[in-house]
Amino acid sequence: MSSINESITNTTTSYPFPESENQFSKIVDDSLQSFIETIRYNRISENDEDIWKYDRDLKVRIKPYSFANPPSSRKSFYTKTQKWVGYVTEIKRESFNAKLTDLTTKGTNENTEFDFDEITDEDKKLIQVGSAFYWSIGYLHSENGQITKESLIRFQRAVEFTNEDNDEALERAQSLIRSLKWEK
Amino acid sequence: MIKEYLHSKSMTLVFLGDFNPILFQPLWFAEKKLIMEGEAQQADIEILHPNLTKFKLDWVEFEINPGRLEMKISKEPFFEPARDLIVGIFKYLKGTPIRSLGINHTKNFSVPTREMYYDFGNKLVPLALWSNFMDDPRVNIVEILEKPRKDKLPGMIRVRITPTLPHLNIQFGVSMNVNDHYQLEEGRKDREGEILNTLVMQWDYSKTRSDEIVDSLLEKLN
Repeated sequence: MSSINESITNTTTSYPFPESENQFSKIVDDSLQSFIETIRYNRISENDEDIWKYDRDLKVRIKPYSFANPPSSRKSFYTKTQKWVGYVTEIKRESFNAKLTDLTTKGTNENTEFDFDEITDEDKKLIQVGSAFYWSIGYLHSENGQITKESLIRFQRAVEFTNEDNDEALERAQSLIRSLKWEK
Repeated sequence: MIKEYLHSKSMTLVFLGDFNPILFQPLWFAEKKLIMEGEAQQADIEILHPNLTKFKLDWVEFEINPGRLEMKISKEPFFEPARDLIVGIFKYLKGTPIRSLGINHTKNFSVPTREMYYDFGNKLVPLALWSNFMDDPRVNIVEILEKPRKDKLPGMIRVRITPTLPHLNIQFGVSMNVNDHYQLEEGRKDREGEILNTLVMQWDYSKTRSDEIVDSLLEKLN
């Protein structure tokens, strides 16, 4: 059996978030009270779902839910997903070539061409030789129950290394080299 | 065999440390080019507060309190982008002390019949033990720990088997969660992004081991 202390350091997925539920309820209760007062004195329609309230004292921003349309408990998810990571190898006029590595079944590489039409406008800015992207195909089960076959491409958003990072990495590497003991 | 009835996968990344919840905001992520601007604008914000932040993008849910940061990813294509996002966030929030990391891999199975579903629970925890003093006993949650870890890394492996969550709408659903938990060695402080390095370095290994655990168990129960 495990000891009770292990629960203090638990990083297992929580269903839902019990530790913060009470805290969340209190903050929302306080904010809701303040929100109701705003409606009462400013005559804002309580059916208006677009109203956002920012309470400066509590520093809380909540989106009020309409009682007629409570938030959906359903979430969308994918089934039968195949995933690849790709690296751009060549950019053409209306497409680019990429080397793909299979993330679902490790160990296979392929070369494929993608049209720019398949890429979102924001991601088009990230296309350059060497840039990485994730490609997946699968069945998307939407919150409304709809199932659609989807191909999804998303370019990697990686933070660039600074000179400071390079210096740190170098320092760590040198420290590692110093710690190595060679057998004679 | 239940393995054949894999329905979907999800992932949760959990960090324990000292966080400032109000710093974690979708618009800030977009400003730092960690997510798309459109994603930030469409974020569903439940609460932004110094003690608790909770919001959803289309593909990830965030909940942050001063001691815990949790990211839930229910769409499989976004597991890797979620990892990149959190690495990017902490690259900007350098010096944030992180003590532990949980990479949670969840596989959901849709078991075709009530008999198979019952049989699965009965093989996991023999229900004959309980039948003298309980009517029609059923298995609800089973949790098994490996501590210390076989790979000698500081932390533990925790396997949790439960019914699937209601939003998946599976009649006889089994959810298998492998919590791959890493922590700093006793007395060490995370000042060099050690836990984040662990996330990046252990990513593939963590997935492979999780698959092996689930597959081997299902094989044995066959």
